[in-house]
Amino acid sequence: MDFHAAPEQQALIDSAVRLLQDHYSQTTSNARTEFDAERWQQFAELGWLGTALAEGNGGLGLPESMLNILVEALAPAAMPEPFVSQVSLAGYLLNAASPSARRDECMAKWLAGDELVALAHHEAREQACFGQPVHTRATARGDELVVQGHKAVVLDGGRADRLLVSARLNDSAAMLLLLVPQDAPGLEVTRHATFDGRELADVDLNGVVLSRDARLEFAEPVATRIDAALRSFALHLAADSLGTAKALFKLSHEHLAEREQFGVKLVEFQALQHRLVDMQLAITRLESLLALARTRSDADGVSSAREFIAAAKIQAGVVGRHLAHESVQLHGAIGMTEELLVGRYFKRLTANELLGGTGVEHLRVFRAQRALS
Amino acid sequence: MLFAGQLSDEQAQFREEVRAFLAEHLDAGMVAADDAQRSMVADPERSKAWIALLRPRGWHAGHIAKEFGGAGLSPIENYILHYEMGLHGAPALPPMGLYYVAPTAIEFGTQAQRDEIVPRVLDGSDYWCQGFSEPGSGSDLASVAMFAERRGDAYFLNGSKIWTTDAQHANKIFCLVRTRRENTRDALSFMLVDMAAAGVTVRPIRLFSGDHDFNQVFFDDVEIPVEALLGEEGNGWAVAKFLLDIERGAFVFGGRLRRRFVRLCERAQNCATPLAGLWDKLAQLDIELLAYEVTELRLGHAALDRSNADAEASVVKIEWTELAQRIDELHIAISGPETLYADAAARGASTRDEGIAMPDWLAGYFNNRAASIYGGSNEVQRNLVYRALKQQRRR
Repeated sequence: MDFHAAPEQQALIDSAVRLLQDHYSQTTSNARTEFDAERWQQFAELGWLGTALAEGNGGLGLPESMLNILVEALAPAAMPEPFVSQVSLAGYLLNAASPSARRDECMAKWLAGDELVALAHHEAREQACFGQPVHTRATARGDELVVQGHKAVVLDGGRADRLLVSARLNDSAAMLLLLVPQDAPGLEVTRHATFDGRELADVDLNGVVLSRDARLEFAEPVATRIDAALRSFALHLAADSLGTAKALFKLSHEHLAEREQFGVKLVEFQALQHRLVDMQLAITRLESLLALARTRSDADGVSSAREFIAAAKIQAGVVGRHLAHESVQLHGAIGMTEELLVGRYFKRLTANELLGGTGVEHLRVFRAQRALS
Repeated sequence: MLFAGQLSDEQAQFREEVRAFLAEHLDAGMVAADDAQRSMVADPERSKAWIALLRPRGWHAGHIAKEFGGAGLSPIENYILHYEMGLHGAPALPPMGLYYVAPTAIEFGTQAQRDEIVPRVLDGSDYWCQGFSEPGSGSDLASVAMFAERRGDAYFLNGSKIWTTDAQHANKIFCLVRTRRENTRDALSFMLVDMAAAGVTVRPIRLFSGDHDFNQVFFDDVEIPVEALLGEEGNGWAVAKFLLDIERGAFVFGGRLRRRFVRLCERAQNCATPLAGLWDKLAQLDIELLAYEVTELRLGHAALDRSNADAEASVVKIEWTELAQRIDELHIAISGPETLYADAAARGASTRDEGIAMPDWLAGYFNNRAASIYGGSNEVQRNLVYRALKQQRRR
């Protein structure tokens, strides 16, 4: 039981910090929101995309916790590149799928940073994240599958080169996961830019015809695997929120230490010092919950660790709001403007709270797992 | 539960050993009495009985090295021992002798002092209390005014100490006193005083709960030998600070808080006055309690070598006291008029309960408002945490 960063963890964090210093120096809320293909290539070259992928699949074979630590270290960049959704949804599912020519080709391109892959699973914008029914249907027709349905909240859906579409086979309950190229006839993708610079899409599949090998095979039921990918997404969103909260703390502390009013630096006021301490205590709580969720995810897998992931995700929302509100307040009026990064972080934390299962949904999971009723 | 898969085989085996011991030796009466305890402070009589059972293994002094009569457990083993004892409702151990005096005497004492003090703490001959706060020195501890005047081979003490927990039970008191008139820290010294010495009087301070936890101790020209000095004259602040810092290595609140939380949940299940969103509130508390358990281990026990140790101890102190108070607060929020009846059934046998009729848990709610005041108020703790944040920013 060691809570210090191991050398390989520290090396990963250091490489992330170096990249941030070199390429993510924006200091305002609404600067660069466009995806940078060159950056993405660099992530691939550094091996980051494959952090938690099996070595046999071309990844680094590191545990989920290491990816989580990397996500936390990258958070201060508040980058427009969809690292979190790509590694936890696309990366997780491609890694879990059984080898096949189609999967191997897709994964190689994804790992090389040449292609993005988006999970198209949810079907309504208002839907909860976990345990949702799938109405999209794949009908077998000779050697082909014909897919009909609608998908919503597809992160990176417009930018992705391929979609991973969940669908029912014929009238059965069996769920499939299908690789659908962005240019497939009958596929209609409507892009939406989110308030925090992410991209998601609504997707219509109007008789999209796929060959049978578009179907990814899994050792376990597809629904179980998708559920696990979503838990992993929640875990990494919580780490992104932790890193973002820490960045906000730093900005706020710097501001109070620089800003002078009434003839003194604001940080000299004890009331403000204690506000900073309470922010730090909130961060410490989230750090501890993530340490627990990481350990349990590595030991038992993300599905079995769901209650601890839920705890971390809930607390990420609570702590994220606390840090965002206090950071704006401590900065004063300038904190409301797009002149600073504060607003960018605030929006990012807010979006993190809405994705990967809200606090309300994870609270339900947590209560059920711990028999709190 | 928390540590499944995280403990080494050896540590897991130690935990099993602790659990087996508790199953064998911790009887239901002891547990019930502990659950009914009206403050977080150990009860002298019940802790004495429990210590007698722990003594053969040295587990009453797990953190003290074997050569001094303790069990010499590693920080993690000590954590496991105390977490499990708290979780299973074992009586709390009195901290003043075991956690404060013995390690401090080992660190600062002469050989003669070690030989005299440590065995008597460990075998229960001495029961210590703490003479730090004074009427004019609460949070600002370094301003203590009680004076020790050197005359020949003796010191003569004049002044008073206040908020002295269990002075009514103790036969010894350790004091932070002033040995020079200057208002500097190097004018402070650390002294060990016999409560039976002529000129020492104890006045009880009753709490609004009716309980008697605290006292004021008066010193009227109390003569003590120079050998009663622990550490050198003028080095008292360093000794006191060491004493306050070591609590992080020995205190574990996670298990006790977890037990308190579980009992609150039991009460919530039989609650006549349901509170809207009660179980969501309990879940949020559970989450923060989980966070605390990891924080306590991470900052308090797994990282004893860290540089900003005292700030981390402050974080742990703020967190456990405020969590404990929130658990109690939710308890009052789900209670109704039945609480106004203090039936005998709702009361245990606390030696400090001196007679205002109320349920034990309610007295606990009142008494534990002190938790965020004692041991350095949480405002002082926040000052200390901020000081560390300031240093971090400069680095």
